[in-house]
Amino acid sequence: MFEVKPILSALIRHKSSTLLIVLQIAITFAVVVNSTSIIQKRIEMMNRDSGLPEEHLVALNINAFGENYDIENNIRADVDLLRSLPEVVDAVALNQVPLTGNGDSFSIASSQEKFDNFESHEAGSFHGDSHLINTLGVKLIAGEDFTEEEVAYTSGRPDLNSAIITQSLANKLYPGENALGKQVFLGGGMKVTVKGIVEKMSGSWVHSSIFEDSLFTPFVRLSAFSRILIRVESKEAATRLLGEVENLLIKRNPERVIFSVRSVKEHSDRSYAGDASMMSILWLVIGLLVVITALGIFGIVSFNVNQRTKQIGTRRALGATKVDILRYFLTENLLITSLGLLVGILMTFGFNIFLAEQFEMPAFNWTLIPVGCLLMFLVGIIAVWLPAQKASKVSPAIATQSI
Amino acid sequence: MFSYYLKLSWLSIKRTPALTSLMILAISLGIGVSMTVLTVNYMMDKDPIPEKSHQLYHVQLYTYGKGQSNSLTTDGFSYQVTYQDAMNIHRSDIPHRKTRSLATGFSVIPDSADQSPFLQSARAIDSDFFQMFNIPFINGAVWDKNVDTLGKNVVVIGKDLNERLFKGENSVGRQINLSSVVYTVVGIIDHWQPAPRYYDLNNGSFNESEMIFVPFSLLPVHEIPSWGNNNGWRTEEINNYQDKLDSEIMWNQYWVEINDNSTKDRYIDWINGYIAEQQKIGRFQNEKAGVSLKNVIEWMKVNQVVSSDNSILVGLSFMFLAVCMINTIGLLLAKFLNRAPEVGVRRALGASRREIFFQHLVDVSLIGTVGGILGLALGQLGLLGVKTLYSSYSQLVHMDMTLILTAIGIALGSSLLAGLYPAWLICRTNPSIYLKIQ
Repeated sequence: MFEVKPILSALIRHKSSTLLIVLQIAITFAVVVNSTSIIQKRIEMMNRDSGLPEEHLVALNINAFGENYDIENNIRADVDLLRSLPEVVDAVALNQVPLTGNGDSFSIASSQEKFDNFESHEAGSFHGDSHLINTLGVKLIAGEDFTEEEVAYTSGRPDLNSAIITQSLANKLYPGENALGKQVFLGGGMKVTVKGIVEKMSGSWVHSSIFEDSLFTPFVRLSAFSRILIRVESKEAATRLLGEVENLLIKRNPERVIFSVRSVKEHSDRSYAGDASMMSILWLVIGLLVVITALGIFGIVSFNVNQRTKQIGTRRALGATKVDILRYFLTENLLITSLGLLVGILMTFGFNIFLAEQFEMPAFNWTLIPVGCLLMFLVGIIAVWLPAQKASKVSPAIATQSI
Repeated sequence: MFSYYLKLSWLSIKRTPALTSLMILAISLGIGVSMTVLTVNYMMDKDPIPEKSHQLYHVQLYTYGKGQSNSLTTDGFSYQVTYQDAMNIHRSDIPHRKTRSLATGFSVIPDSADQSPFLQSARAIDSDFFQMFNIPFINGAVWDKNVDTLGKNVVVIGKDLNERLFKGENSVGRQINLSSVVYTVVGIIDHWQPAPRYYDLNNGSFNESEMIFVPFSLLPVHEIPSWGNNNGWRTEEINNYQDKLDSEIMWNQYWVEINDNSTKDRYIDWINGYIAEQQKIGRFQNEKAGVSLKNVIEWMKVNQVVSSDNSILVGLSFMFLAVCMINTIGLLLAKFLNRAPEVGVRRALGASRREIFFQHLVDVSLIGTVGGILGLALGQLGLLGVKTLYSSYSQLVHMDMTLILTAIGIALGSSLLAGLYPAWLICRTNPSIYLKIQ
């Protein structure tokens, strides 16, 4: 039925051009699968749930320069002013804003011994006044929020008694146990009691392994440099606030510079900008590579059809139908593609092992192999369709004509 | 002969326009993509100060306590040094030039009421800094050497800032208010933006350079804040600026310029002596305590200026080029074999194999050159794309002469390589077969 045998012998006669297409398909397949795997990993990372209402959060920095600038009263007056605005849900003075790529982290442990034996965990450190958890908009799944009485305003080292931690950090500190009410050691003999657990929150460094491990403490560090985070009711309200908040704060006290006024969503986009760019480049490379390979197959098959016009005419004259001719070229391509994919699958594994060793890249998704094969078959069929059609239209009369 | 071959090539191209355009397209896309990626990579990896990259050393100390380690470069040394170590090693007169360095920033408060205060990143350094990093002055000069120890409210500003504050006039001697402290301008430097910013790879390798430079000796005087990283390893009570100065927090950087190896050895000996001295008073207790001097090139490598994404893309772009070239070989094979009857006639008429071979190589080089030039144009387009994707890379994305020549070289070389096999195959054509058919 399928003329595999004559096709094979024809392919063997043209082994160099066959080999070239096979190689092309193999490399293209390997690159496409590995690149898609990289893209997939980036998409997964970028789509992680941050646990934050990113589009409703507006962050800003303040750098005060006034000689007699009263830091504590200014911070209090600023957040009071912001909280009184109509569309604002809450506002807080804090040390770091999630997803920005900047912030503080420190080592903590579940006991002093662990601390001394260097078995501590690294965690992002967020601190602010009692509106911290509410402004971030994260979900407290156990325990209680901070009260205003607990909050220390200091330029030095605060005296801390309680902390709220994320579930992810709780699991690392007290695996299999309920961390609520347990103690966390912060080094230097300081320890705090866990009074609340937050379900999920992204920290500051999106590419870090401690991304979701954070600890919240109730104090405001008094320094000329401060940060404020504001949560509003809607995306539109955030846009409005972004436009006017600088003027509002400067009007209240002009002895400072307000800067980096951005929504947390924008911070997040900036943090992932490198990944997004890498994805666009990879998409482009995949697209171009597939087009080039398709054009190459198209070119060579077109040439073969021209070369074999006489033979095709002879076959037609001997009774082969148009469909037979079409099928011949499609089958030929199917065989070549299959061979290319076989080599390609081996190459894919080779690349992946190399990438994993060199760049600590995780192994690729198995399901990409059948998907990639299907794509390559489809590309092959599209590429040979036109020349094969042309071949099927060769008139049987050609066989009888001399050159 | 060559011009005759060119003429023949031109004729054959005219006969197979579709096949030829396909080949040119493949070569130009291959060159375009790989040149875009290579340019970015090459510019990142390029020696930013070739005339003295092997004389400038970043000084690293291993100050950790027993069993401790934290923010480290791959060889275990910390990126930065403590204030006390920066001050202490600055006492050595062995290096030809030396500077302490701290990334900081100020609120710039303009005199005129119609300009509102703005924030500007700055750097606290010693007077040698400008000479060490070859920074050109437009007006004035750096402050006196004695300011490096005594401290004085003087400042060197960048051209753009001078434009903004003083409308580009020579502002030497004028005053500016930085975070409520009045400084006198002593010098204005020309636009200076090394990429990568090798003198401080810790705080964004491709960030903008600072436009305000103040004496490092002013740190304790005005409690100049750190805008860079602060890496501590010990739990210390930090209640004020003085505590930070006395602490084991690493937040300063130290660069020296040393012109010969014997001085370098002498300097290392001196620092080892300093470390031994400090060990007596209880510091540098780690078994790995020591010093590491890294020149600009080593420093860039350790800081991984070229990210793994970039390296992956370089590999990928060469795969891409390979596919384009395999494609071209296939098409060339088709094209040349198509011409076999004609070659048969030429061979029968007395053309030697060599002549046939070279004629076909000329054919291939013509296609390669056109593909290469088109590829360069595509590469420029690609760089434009990179510029929009990565705004911080904007200074990196231009091709210099080396890159342009490389591109043409790769295009010509790879298409010649691609043409070798088809040309060899065709020159072995047996004339008799084709003559019989004719």
